[in-house]
Amino acid sequence: MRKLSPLQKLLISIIAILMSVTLILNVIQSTRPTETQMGEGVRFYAQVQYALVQRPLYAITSFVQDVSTLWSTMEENKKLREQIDLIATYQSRLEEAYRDIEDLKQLNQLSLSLSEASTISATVIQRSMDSFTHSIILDVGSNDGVELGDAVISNLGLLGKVVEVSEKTSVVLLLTTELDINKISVKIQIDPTKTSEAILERYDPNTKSYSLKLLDTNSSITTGMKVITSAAGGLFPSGLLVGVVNHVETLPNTIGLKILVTPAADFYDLNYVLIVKRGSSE
Amino acid sequence: MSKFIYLILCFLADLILSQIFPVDYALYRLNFIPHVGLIGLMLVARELDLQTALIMAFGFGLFLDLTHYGYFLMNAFVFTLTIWVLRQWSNQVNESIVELLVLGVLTIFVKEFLIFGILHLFNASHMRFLVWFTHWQFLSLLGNLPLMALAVYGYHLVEGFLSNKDRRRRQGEKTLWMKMLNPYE
Repeated sequence: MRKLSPLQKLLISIIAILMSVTLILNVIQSTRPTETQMGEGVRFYAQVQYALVQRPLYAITSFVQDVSTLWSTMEENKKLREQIDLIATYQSRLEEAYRDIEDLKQLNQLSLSLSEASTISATVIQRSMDSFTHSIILDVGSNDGVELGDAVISNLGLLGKVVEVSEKTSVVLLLTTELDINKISVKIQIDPTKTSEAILERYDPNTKSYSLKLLDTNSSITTGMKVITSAAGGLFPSGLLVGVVNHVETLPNTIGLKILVTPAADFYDLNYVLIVKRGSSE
Repeated sequence: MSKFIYLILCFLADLILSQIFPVDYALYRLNFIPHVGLIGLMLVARELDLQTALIMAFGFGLFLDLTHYGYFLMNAFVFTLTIWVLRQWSNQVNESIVELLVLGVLTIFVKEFLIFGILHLFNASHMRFLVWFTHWQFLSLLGNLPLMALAVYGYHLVEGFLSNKDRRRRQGEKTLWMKMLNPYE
């Protein structure tokens, strides 16, 4: 057998050290039942990357954007001032609605309504750059109250769910992932009082839409209807916007419908997100 | 050591560029994924013997596997296989910039295509080839061309630095090798 050169010996030693560290960390993790399988390396690297690269870069780009959008911001401010005047009216309506909900809960002897939720704000510290994982790592973890299966939303709509949690970070698998493990229960809003239950099966990159399986085949679904989360899955609060129906097709061989939904969330702009936990924050 | 630092700088460049050009996961926009690290690895691996090049590729792939969420050992396997394919082609290619750019584009395509193929083989992806090519590869291949030129330029700088260092070391030697070859001159 050929003798190894010093460089080969060095490289093999590095690989052996990396493999050993991975093995040891996995053994340590399996002895701590509260920890999940998320790699220590992934977590550590994400935090270092965020502190050394992402944060300074984000500060610079934000500054440049702020300066370049200064004039349009002034115009926006004028419009927003007009809207601020209406906030007091909306606030009183909202408070009235909350009082109604509390009254109805007492009447029906409910401790929690399905749409009640509390939120935790988070910053994205790493995002995958491959065509299948579609995961983001957040700077909040079990210490902040994040749990497996929590919903993650942007200001526009549902993004995905938490699949791994450590003490200070958590991994979110986006709804656009190619990994086939992200099914969630949803409902289609037929009119303000009626909904139809369905399951969001996966994101189809070919049609750029979510593919839905309808559970109630008697409902008449048309394009333009809103799709929101359902509390039927047990994890998500109901009412989080998922998307809008863009295509309905009757399947020739089955009784089901093929429903495609345009995502409401923008999967490009992902710097700050909210983790939504079912139940009241109080 | 200088080449190792060069490789780390290439992967660091990837990291910075990936923050400036984020990915649109919903594929409404064309995605640009920087591959400066892979190009750096390609340039360094061309100079090494096959065995060392494969071990180095495996090591870098393993590093990516340990620091990114996804399938463990997939990058290690794909990087090793890509560098092996590259070495087979590399013998037919000269040192001109155009040929190196073509080789770089092929390396990126092979690496990404291997991942695409593996995922389809294990039924983990449903993406059509055309969608994958247009949304994940087209802009990446084009966008990486100027970066490749910079990486090649950087690599020549490293090589220049190493050869200067070597020449200075030789000049400092007390025994002149020319005289040793012909002591009666």
